[in-house]
Amino acid sequence: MTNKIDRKLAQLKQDNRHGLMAHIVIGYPNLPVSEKIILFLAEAGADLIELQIPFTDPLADGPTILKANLDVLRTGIKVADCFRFAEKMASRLTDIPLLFMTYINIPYNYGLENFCRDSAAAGLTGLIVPDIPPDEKDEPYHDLCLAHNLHPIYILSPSSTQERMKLIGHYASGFVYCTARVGITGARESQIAGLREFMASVRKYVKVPLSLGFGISSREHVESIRELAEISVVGSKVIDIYNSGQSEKESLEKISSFVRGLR
Amino acid sequence: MKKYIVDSFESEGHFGPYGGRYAPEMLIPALVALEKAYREAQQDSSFVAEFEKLLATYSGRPTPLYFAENLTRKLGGARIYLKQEGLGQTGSHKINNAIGQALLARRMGKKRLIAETGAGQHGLATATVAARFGFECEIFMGELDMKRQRPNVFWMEQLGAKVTPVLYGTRTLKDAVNESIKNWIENLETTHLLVGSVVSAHPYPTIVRDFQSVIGREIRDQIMEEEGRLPDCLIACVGGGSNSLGMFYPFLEDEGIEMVGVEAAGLGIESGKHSARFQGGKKGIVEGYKSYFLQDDDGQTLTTHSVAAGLDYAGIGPEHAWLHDLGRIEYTHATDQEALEALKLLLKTEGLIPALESAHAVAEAVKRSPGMGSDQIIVINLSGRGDKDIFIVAEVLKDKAWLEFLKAKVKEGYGDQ
Repeated sequence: MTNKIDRKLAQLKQDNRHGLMAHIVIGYPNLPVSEKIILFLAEAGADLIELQIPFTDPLADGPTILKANLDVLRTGIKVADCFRFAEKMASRLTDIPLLFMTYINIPYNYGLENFCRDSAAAGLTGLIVPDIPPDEKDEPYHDLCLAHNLHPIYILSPSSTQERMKLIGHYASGFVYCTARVGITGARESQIAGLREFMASVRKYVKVPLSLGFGISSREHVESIRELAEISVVGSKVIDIYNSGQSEKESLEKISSFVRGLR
Repeated sequence: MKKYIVDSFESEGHFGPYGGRYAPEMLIPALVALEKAYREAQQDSSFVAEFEKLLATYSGRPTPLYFAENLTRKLGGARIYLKQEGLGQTGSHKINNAIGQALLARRMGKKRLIAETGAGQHGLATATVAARFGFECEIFMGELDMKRQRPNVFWMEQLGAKVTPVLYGTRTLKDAVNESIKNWIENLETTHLLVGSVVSAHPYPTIVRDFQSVIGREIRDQIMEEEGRLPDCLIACVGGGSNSLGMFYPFLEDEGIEMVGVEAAGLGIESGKHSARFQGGKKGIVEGYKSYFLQDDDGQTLTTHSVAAGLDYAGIGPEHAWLHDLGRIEYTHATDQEALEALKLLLKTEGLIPALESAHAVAEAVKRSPGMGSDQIIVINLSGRGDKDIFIVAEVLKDKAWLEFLKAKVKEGYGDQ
C-alpha cells in the first residue's frame, strides 16, 4: 500500500530534505480563517498537515489546543463540517498529505468503518488518534485504516518502554509520531543528548520514518533534530502565533514567516 | 463458571464490550506498571493485612449495618437496613479506596498523589491519606464544584493538599478527570494518580472495585448475623459507580438478590438537565474506557446536572455498563427534588443526615419499599454523610435563618480579626 504520505516521505528522502508537519484545529478561530491558515502553512512550506477534529475531552492536549477545541465547539461546528472542510482542503492541496487528528470517541460515534471510508473519500491519507493503542483489540481501528488506505499513525514518548516500542514498531504504518517534552527552549546539550538516546532506541524497533514534536520554536531547534527524525512537528505553536497577532492579517503573516524561518 | 463476575486481568480490562485501555501511549507504561504492582500486592499477605488494619483502626471499619426501624414503619413495606459508610473516616466510602491506593503508591515508590474530585469527598479522602503517609498532594476540582463544596476544599487545604481549580469545559468532575490525567502524563515518575471511582483505563476500574468491595462483604456478614439470611434488594446511588459496585460485587452471583443503581435525574430526565447515563446516554469511548456516556449526536460529551456533585458526571464505570446490558443490575433514577425529600425524611425519621448523593438511594427505597412484603429485606448504602452539604441543602430549602447567619457572620467581620 502506498499513499500520498509514502510518496511525500520518499520525496523528502530523495531530496535529502527534512520534512515539516503542521497542526491546526479545524474551525479555529473559525472555518474561513482556518482555511486561510492552512493555505499560508502550505505556501510557507509545510510538507504535511494535521487537521484536528475538535472534541470536548482532548485528553492528550495541552492548554492551547484544549482551549481551541472548546472554543470551536462553542461555535456549533459538527463532524460533518470537518469532513466537508477536509475534502475542500484536500482538493486544493494535492501535494500535501492531510491527516485527521482526533480522539477515538469521534470516529467510534461516527462508526469506525464509515469514518475510515469517508476520510479516505475526502482525500485524507492518515489518522492520528492518540487514545486507541494498537493492542486494544476490541475495535478494529488498525485494520479498518489499512483497508481504506489510511495510515494509522502511532505515538511514542520517552516514557515508552522497549516493549511498547517493539509493539508500535510492529504496527507502525507511514511514520511514527514521537513526542518529547524536554523543555527544549534554551536547551542544554544534556537534554539534546537525552532526546538522542530516546530516538536511537525508537530507531532500533521502528523501521518507518519518524516525526518529532516538542515545542519547536526556531530554526536552531529544527537543525538540532534534523539528524534524529525525518519530520519535525509544529503543534500548538501555530495557534499561539495566530493568537499573538493584533489582526487576522498580521496573525497569518506571522504564521507564514514563522514557518519560513524554520525551513 | 461465573455468570456475572469477569476475570478482568484475564480479559485485559474488558467487561464484555466495555472498559479496556483506550489511553494515550505515554500513559500505557504507567498503567502496565500499576497493574503489575497491584497484582503482586494482592498476593502479598502483609499488604492485605496492613490494608485491613488501617481500615479497622484508622477509618473505623466495619461500618455499622443499622436496622432503620422508624423508616421501615413509615414506608410500611420491607425491612430497611442502612449501611452507614458515612461513619468512616472523612465521612464517605471514598476512604476505603484511598487507603488501598496510598499503600499501593508507597509500594511503587511514588512521592506524590494526585486525584480528581467532584463532590470533594474523594479529594478529601486522598488529601487525608496523603497527610497520613507523607505524600505530596494535588487535587483537581472543577471550579463549579469548588464553589458548591467549599467545606471540603477548606479541609483538603488544611490537610496540606494543593487544590487546583479546573476552569474549562463543564468545570465539574469530567474536566477534573481530564486535568488529573494530563498532570499524570507530565509527572509519571514521581506521581500516582489516585482514581476515585470505577472508571478510567484498565486497571483502575478493577482496583477501585476491589478496594470498595469490603462494603458488600461486610453487609453479607452483618445481615446474616441480624437476620440469618441474605437481603432481597440492595440499593445504591451511582455516579462513577464505586459505592454501588463495592456494595453489589460480593452479591453478583446470588441471583435471587435484586440490585438497584440510582442515577441522578437532576431536574427531570425530560428537562435534559440530568446525569442519568442509562436514560439517553449511548456507548462511547472517553477518558480511557468504553461505556455509556451522555453525549450529542457527534460524540461530544454533554453538560450534566445534579444537585449532588458526586453524581454529576457524563460517564459510568464500564462494569456497570456490562451488568446493565446483562440485566443483572436495574438502573433507575431520582430527581434533585426526590433526593431532597428523602434527605428530609431520613433526618426526621432516623436522625441521620445522608449525603445528597446517598439520598438518591433512599429516594428509591421510598418508591420501592411500600410494594414489598414485611418479610423482605432492603439494604441501602448510605455512602456518605451529609454534613458537607449544609450550604447546598440550606440554600435549596431556602432556610432563612442560615442565610441570616451567613450574612451576620460577614457583617460582624468574620475572619477579619
